[in-house]
Amino acid sequence: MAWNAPITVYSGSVVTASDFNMYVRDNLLQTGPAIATQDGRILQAIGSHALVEREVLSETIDTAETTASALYTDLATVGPSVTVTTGTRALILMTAEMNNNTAKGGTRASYAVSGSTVSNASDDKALSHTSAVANTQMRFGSAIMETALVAGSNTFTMKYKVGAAHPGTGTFRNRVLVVMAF
Amino acid sequence: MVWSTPITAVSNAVFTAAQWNQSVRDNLLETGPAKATSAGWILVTNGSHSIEAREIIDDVVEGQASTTSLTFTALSGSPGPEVTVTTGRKALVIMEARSATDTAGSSGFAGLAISGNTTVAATLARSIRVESEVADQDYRYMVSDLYVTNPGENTFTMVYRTSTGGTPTSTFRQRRIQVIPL
Repeated sequence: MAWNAPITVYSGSVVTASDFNMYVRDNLLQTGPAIATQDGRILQAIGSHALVEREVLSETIDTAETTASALYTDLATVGPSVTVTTGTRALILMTAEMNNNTAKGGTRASYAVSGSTVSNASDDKALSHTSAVANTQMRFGSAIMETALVAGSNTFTMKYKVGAAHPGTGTFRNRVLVVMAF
Repeated sequence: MVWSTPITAVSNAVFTAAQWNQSVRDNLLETGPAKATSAGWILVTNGSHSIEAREIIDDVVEGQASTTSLTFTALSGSPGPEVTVTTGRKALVIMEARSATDTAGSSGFAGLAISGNTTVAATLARSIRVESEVADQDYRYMVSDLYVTNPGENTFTMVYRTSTGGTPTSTFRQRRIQVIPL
């Protein structure tokens, strides 16, 4: 059933059972409380006169793990990874603590998307840290709004690499991925 | 009052006052317009067939202050930033801070403590970390995380520390906290 603009009633007119069902019952069934199934979700417009509830989910991996790959890859523990139903948009919040054991060595953390959408990790949506001194540690994050997702179930997975110029070995710890679906 | 599935009207059946009050009045009082109280708030689900309005809130402290503490603490003369807000069982928290430490190889940490209905101590694993490659190297970073909270009024406070080794002093300025309660 869908939302219908409620009728205007005039004095003396008869409001039928069918009117009630279409303009009261069915419209109420399109409202927020009718749609809400669990706590902690956000109500969003999914189109004209239509609402949906969307999740905000996260995963955390604290373990320090390493890579010497100059191409985005998984660490020993894959992720963090979040699977969520989205429309065409999602807000991706990444945080990680990173260091490289080589002077001028770089570390990068990005994310890939799989499921309804397929996109690879890339530098234009990455955390990036390059230090003049080996093993300088920073913990910081970023916020990226994806606006061209394919609606449906999408999985967001963090990926990692070191800089190509002075590769070394990158260490990543205290990694957090938060996805707010729209 | 709570949401109940609106009745299906039947032709020629009597529509009672009790039915109106339960299916129309009480249900309308659970919808977004009934819950909305202030501009800029969002509507979130509060359980099955229940929604609430939630305030998105932030606080900023621009001033510069320092610490030599090796445990998380408020900055002397310049505590916070801090926000108090009603949450459900989750809250998305975004923190930003600019940090510099006067000793090469030492770090400043900006973390989060939660009090009120929820108690969470600040930890290094969830903090902003800025390690100074050279003395007084200065960066401004953000971190984010989705925290589990007990429903009700919770206070989110930024706290600070420096790192072990020598007697470093970490300085913090342009500090911001933003909380989206879910």
